[in-house]
Amino acid sequence: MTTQNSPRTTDDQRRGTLRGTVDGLRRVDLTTSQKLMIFVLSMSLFGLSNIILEIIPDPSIGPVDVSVSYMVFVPLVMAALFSPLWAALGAPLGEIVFTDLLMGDFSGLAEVEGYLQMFLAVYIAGSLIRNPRSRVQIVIGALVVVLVDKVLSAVVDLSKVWIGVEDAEFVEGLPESVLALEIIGLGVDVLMSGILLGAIPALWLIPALHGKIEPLMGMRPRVPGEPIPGRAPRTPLFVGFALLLAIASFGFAFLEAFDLNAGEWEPDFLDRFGSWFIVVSVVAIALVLLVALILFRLSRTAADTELHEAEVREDVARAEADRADSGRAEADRADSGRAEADRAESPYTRQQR
Amino acid sequence: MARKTHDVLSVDWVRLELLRTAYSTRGGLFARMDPRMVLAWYVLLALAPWFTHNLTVLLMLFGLGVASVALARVGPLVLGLFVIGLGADVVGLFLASFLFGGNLDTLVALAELNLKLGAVSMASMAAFVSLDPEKLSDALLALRAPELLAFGVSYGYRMLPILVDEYVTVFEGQRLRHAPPPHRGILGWRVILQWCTLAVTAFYPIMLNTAKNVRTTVEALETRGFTYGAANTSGRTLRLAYLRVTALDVAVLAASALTVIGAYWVGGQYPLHR
Amino acid sequence: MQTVPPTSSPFPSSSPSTGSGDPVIVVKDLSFRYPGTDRDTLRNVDLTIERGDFVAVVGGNGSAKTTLCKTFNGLVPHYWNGDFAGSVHVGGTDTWESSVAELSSRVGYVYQDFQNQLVRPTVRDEVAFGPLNFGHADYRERTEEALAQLGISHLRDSFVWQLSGGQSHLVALAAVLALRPEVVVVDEPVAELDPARAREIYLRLQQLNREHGITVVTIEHHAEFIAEFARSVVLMADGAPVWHLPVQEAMDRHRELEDNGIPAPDAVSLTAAVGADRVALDVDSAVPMLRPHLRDAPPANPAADDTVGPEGRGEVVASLRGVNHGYRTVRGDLAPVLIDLDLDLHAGERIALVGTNGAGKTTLMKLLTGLMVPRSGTVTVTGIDTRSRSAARLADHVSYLYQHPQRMFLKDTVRADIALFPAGRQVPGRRSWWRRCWGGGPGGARRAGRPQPLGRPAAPRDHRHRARHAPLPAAAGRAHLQPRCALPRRRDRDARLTGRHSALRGGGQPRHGAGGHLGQSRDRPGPGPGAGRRHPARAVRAPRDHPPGATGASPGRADRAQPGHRPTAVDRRRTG
Repeated sequence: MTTQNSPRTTDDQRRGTLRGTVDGLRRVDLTTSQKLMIFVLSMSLFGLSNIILEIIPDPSIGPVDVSVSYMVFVPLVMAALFSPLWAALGAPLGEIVFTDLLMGDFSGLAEVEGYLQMFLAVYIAGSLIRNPRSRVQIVIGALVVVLVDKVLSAVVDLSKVWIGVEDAEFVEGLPESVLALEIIGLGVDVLMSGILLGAIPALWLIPALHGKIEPLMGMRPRVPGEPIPGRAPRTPLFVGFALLLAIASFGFAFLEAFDLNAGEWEPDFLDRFGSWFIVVSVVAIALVLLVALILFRLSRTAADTELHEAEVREDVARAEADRADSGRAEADRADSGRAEADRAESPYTRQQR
Repeated sequence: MARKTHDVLSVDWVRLELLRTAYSTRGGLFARMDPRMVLAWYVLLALAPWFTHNLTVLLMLFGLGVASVALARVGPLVLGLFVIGLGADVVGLFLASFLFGGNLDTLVALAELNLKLGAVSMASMAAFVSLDPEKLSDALLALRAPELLAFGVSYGYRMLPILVDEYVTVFEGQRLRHAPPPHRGILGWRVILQWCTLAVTAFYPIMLNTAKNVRTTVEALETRGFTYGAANTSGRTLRLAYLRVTALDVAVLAASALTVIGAYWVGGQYPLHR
Repeated sequence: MQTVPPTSSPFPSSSPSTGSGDPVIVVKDLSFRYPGTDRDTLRNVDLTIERGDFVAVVGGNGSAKTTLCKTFNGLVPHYWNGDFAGSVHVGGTDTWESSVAELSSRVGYVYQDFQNQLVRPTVRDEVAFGPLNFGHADYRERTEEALAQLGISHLRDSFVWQLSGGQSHLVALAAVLALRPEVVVVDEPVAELDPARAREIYLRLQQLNREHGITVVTIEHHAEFIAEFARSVVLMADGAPVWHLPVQEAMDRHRELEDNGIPAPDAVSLTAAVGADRVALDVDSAVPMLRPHLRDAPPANPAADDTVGPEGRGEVVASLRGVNHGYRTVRGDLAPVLIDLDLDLHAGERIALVGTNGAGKTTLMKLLTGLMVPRSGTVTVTGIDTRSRSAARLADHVSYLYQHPQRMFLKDTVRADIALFPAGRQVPGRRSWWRRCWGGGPGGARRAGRPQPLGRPAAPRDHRHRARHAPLPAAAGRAHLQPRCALPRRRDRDARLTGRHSALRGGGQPRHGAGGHLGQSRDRPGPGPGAGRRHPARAVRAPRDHPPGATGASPGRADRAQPGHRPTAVDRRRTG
């Protein structure tokens, strides 16, 4: 009748043989589903925050828009608590899907520009937050998001004008006004998006959510000092990648801007360079993107190898400690290795019924 | 001031508008087309204005944009935001350049720029309002976009009403439990400040709840073969088998192309430059 | 944690009921520990589930029911990593050697929060999603078949967000069935549904079980569903099955079930009370057993009947006059919800508001709290026209507990959350509120005095429970009126914030609160423990179906107006 009423004392003795790895061997890399979760979460939340901002009317003082362009703290929380890479990949997509597509505000190539800029901003800022409890790092992170994103787009805007007015002072006053507006706009953005809706909420939210939100998604909270999953690797290769990505995002903007500015301020621009200019710039962008991606791959592999080496060292140390106790640990590890191999090989065998 | 129920410009209205937009319940010409063809149409109309500085052409393309918005039955919210945005752009930029000593030429330059932007925006409104998320994500899949992007699009649209609902609930609850500011302050800035604070703090429960929901979603995706499907193409082929280019698609595309060519031709006949 | 070799004493492992001798799921010596925890969640589980069985898995909170069921389709250990010892075989396949993708065409899983399981916008697409991903060319037939099996073919073109709760659950189930699994696991179908719809789900499950031979495993806390539908019952406690018995024997041990938080249904407890050897599982079989014990009804005693007549009621605290309200639909037309409603609520009443989904219960609540104002007519609460005050100001007089209280918790700690209302409003004596809310005597106050993190396992369960309701008395702060229209909705604090992996454990879904879902129609006191045992003073039928007014009365000391559905919250608070 009563099948299982083993006495308490033996409760914590496992009868079954342990399969696979032993807990404690911490894995730095995320599983596919964890990545997917972070991606989806970051996308949904940032999209939601954008919708809310979309509903709120944008106040502007004269030509200067004092509205908030985005809620920086949302992707920042995701990047700081989970993985910068996947949070950065998801957040700008959320903006595009939730607001731009939905609101009919989709602007073609400029969206790619926006995506790349936001991705870089969140990725770099998230990687700067090594300790989610550090206030300084959070503030820096929030400011970096806004600065990277806004400076990139300000540079794009300014260059548009600069290129356009190089030899044709067609529209008087416009270049200066654009420059002034960009600077004022940057200041307002840093204040509104970076501090009011960036650093301040993040200072409250990140520590409040740290240790609470991760278990809900089946993850272990980040501990300062541990390698961060999906962190921007600090290698020269990555810097190259970031630069190229920035250039590519310029490229997308310029693709429109060249034509646009030429149209506004230099009607014979196209005549001089011919339409092939656009084709050339497309090819150039594609090349730059490709190189950037290759660099990114390389830099990540380099970083992974580093991490992996660290892990291996840790493993060795652990194994040696364990060997002092018994030989079991090694046997387990060997077992787990076999099991892993088996799992990897096991094909999708089940046939349709 | 007595409170009333508003049907327009309330949170609920915005939510409904979004739903209508997202699921193209208003119908319209492009909703009946093959999504890939709609994307092609969009590319055509989005690129066309960039190759000219001729105001005649731009005016005609702008007109084409207006016509497609009408045919696509774009809802008032999206349209309203667009018009306000366009107007604010023009006024803002004009004021700016005027402030720094611009003149009427500035306005003409701005008019050209805004005609271009307007034409492109209207094309995108017409296209994406007509594509429901399934069609859009299928079109993206068919065009070999990453699986994650296609899924993100479809999932984003599905979660949107739920997220907005949840946010509104949390926000309401917060309002009930927080004391209203004792004095409104100049222009009611205390009230505005409190609303802003609440809008941000509402994210705390929202983030936790969404995290939990996302976990279930991703688990369910896993059990239903999402990652398996991403690695095996047979599912993709099956899913996209229904996409067919019909006479309507060809007709709409051809008509639009002809209009664009016509616009350029007319522009050539009666050029109107600054 | 060391690993010990399997004991040589194989359990007479539990294949009690059907006895077909064809096990579909065999769990052997299974232990599982989530990473970062210091104790195994599943501990030496041995369990066999026969093909064609209808198993109810029951047990208290944290008894690892959900974790156990997630081992069946490989989510544990392939999705949730951790220490995994022992084995689970599904249809002869070792889950460790298999993958979630492969197992999910054998074991379907319907989540407790099934709304999040729906990932595509339309029903047809949702159901076809699985077969399409796996590349089944017959995905159309599978979709139609699954929809037909559950009788929801007519929904196939609906958008997922248009569905009611019950329909959503069926769609989630259909999506799982489209993969033609051998086993279907349903995690607490009742948690999010009203009893009528939950019963409908069970009838469908029964049909699947009988006609299609699908093995059904449900996680359930409602003994009346277990008694009526299950064939065998697994009682889980502390991470391991205590027993696995045919339903009759399981119900005979109703006391044991009760100790584990599963109170017996009426048929069982009544027949047990009259000393039946084998308790009756449903009302029909209970009747003949109870008949010999019938006594003549005692003479009606009008004095004992405290049905309060209109003249005996207290002052009117809330009144609605000629209220009309409705919502815009997606199509743009107005869907009326409340039509010309007149209603008076008196001081001292406890009122249950009942009605089907969409009958306007929530709308009525929101009108009373001033969150919404009616399209026409007036709502007056404690003499204040709700049009004349903002909802935040009205909160001094009316408080509202949401259906999903997890959406109400805004602060880090219990204390901060409770203090939010009185502190924000400078309520005099707000410090003592804290103690009063928390109650539990000086010890309790001292315990509570420390800021207690919400959602840490350290917070004892009932404390968390109390925290849920604490905002309520706090809200009553300054107002000389007690919270007249406190509207207790569903509980569930810990689902979100109980320590590690509580979410996976199914963490704290309403055990005795299942009846407390305000948006549910009930014509009898709920099946949930606690909830149904106390009777509301007055029931208001949802206005759409019936004219509003007192349609029922029941014994119960009506000392405070509570048009809330779940008096437990009130009582708990009063004693606290």
